[in-house]
Amino acid sequence: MRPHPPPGHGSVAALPLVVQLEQPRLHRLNVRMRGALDASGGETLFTSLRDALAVVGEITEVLLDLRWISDTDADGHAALLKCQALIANCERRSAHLVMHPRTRALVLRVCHELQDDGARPVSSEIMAEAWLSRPELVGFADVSFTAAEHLLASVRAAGAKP
Amino acid sequence: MRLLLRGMHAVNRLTLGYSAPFLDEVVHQYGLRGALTRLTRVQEIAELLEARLGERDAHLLIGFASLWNGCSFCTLGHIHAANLAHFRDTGALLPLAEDDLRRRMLADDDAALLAHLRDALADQHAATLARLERQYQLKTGEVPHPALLPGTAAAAAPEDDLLALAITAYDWLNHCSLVGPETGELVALSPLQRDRDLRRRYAAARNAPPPA
Repeated sequence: MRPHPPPGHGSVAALPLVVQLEQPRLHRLNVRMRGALDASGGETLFTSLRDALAVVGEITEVLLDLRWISDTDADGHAALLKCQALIANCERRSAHLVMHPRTRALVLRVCHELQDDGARPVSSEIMAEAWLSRPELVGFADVSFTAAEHLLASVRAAGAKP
Repeated sequence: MRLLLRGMHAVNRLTLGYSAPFLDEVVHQYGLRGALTRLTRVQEIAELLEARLGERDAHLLIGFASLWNGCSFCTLGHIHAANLAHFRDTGALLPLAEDDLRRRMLADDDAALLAHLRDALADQHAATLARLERQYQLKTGEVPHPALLPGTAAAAAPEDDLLALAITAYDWLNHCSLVGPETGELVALSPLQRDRDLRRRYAAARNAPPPA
């Protein structure tokens, strides 16, 4: 159940983390990463994020692009937790773009541990836009459960029709 | 509360043959009544999927809904249930071995896992493969569904609602199951867990050396 790779896979010999910041519009910060999210990479990420949020006051939405993270370990988990806490404490909405089950698990754990109602993992830019642009959607887990309940009712109702 | 949870685990083991290790986390998160309401709803969803799609494919869809989220307990538990159902009904093995998937879901990205799925299922299980690929397209928003991408049009294909049901239910459950204690034990998350003879025969067939 843990998102961390088995011993040997998450070796820290991978490429160091490179963080690229973009502000495609007034309220949005995109944080794109490439390399290993380990202790050193985590520090790079946290510093970049903290500085960007301090300078650009209008930011309300943060997209963290984790698709090109090559490795994570327990230090990466701790670093992501610290970064997400920074985002949550500023009451910003965030989406974590992932394309790896291991990273999705890491993000789900972080969101759960912080009980951050404004954060969720997403699997595409379309999903990220849908989440970030709808502040009325609060808590990914609860939003998902409510959607499941409505869908269950509608599928049952459709099945009951003659 | 701790005593009550121990009692619930004991009753589950006696009646189901297993108890989910994340039960404590769901109760901690939602309280006893809230947890039972939600877990009952998830059970109803699993039963509906089984009634509409058949036992094997329902467990595969639930297993893959959890696989994309990286929850090995739910993934392997439901895929094991699907494997047991397929072996019971046909005497053959589905080409989705639990040990192999356990390794792949740590090492592979979505694209590599989808490629493996196509290699494994395309020849003999094309309809099931189509369902699992469609489910992934819904999960990523490549095929929009209003339950997953609010504001989009109603589902285009008749089965999309069922596929989205598995995704939404396990997007909820996995946020608790991922933080539960890790047991490493392979448990079929179905009544088949209690069929010891079937599990023994399945394990023997899965572990048998390939024909020369």
